[in-house]
Amino acid sequence: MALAQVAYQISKDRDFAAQMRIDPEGTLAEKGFELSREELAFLSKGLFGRSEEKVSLDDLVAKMRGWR
Amino acid sequence: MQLNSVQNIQQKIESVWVRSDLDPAFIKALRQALPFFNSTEDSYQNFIDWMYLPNLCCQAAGGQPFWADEITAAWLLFYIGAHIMDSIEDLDMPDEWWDLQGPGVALNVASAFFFSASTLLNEYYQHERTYRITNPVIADFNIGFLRMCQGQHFDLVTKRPTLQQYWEMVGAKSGTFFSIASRSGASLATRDNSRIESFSKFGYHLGILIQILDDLEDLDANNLIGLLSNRAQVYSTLPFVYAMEVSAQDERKQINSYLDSESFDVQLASELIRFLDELGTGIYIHAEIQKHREKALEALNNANPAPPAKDLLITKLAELGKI
Repeated sequence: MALAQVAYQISKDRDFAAQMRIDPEGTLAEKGFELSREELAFLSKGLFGRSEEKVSLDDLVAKMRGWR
Repeated sequence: MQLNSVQNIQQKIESVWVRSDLDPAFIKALRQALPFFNSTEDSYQNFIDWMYLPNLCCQAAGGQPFWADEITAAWLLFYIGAHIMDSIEDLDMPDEWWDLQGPGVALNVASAFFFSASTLLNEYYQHERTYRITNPVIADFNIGFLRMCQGQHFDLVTKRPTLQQYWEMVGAKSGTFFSIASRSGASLATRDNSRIESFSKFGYHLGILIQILDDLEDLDANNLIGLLSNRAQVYSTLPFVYAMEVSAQDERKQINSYLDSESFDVQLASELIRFLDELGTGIYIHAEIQKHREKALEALNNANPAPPAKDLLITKLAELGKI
């Protein structure tokens, strides 16, 4: 469940988040986190690669409202 | 084409009831649980689109979409039947049609759906093109649903699942359910096991993705207020499973105190959502959505799907959970 730990660290530890923005693979290796290819791609491109602000949980809930 | 297909599926289902000489009053009761057949509401559109998963996978594997009509009809009935039982087991708000008549009537309708679905699958024995694969398809459905019952059992008895338990249960329930639809539809059109396996993986990740979206929908303030009467259900949704697993003790206490508040309202629900986000819940769920969408797409491409179903499946997948 490394992805969960990484998501928590990004939100609670500013230094970790800043390092992740610069060198995600190196930062994860240094902390001993092993992520899948898709997880790493999301964090390096989908999350930190976005030009806009990160998507909040509130946004996610709003966008999924009535998705059916 | 779509309206025609809805009618085809409806006809397949109703023909089972008519051939079984069911009383019109009982047929009327059964129809009440399938409101989307006669509805023009947009709210059913996504549901109706994914309802054709067996048809689409059959076509994508090189067959004609209508070959899978019986599987689609059976899969739909199993889905609605399971949804009814799940609602009763979880003490959810009743659907409008059984609110007055009570859960006993609803359970009986669910039972009727399971036997109707079973009858529909047996019809593949009657066609030369399909009789050889009827046994494996029926066995696949039965074993799959048995595994889903196991997933539901653990869901019901595990009050505070860990993330690992959550993913195991979601895989066993939603993942299995959509993988059955995908591979059984494809198996009508191809005997290439590696393609069928890829369609199966596509369905598995699609099912997980859909469950994540369902859990996000539960986090909507109004839905969350409704869910509070069954606290275990709240703690079984992904945002809470994640937050309770990764957060520190004082943060977990804070989450509990939000949920324990006697004046829990829309405003407090919004505060709770913000608090969950501060714990990285949004990042985590966003990553899981992208991951399962990528895995579904990769599996679909490995299945070497044929157009036009290929394009439709890819478009629908891209729309699902688009942020």
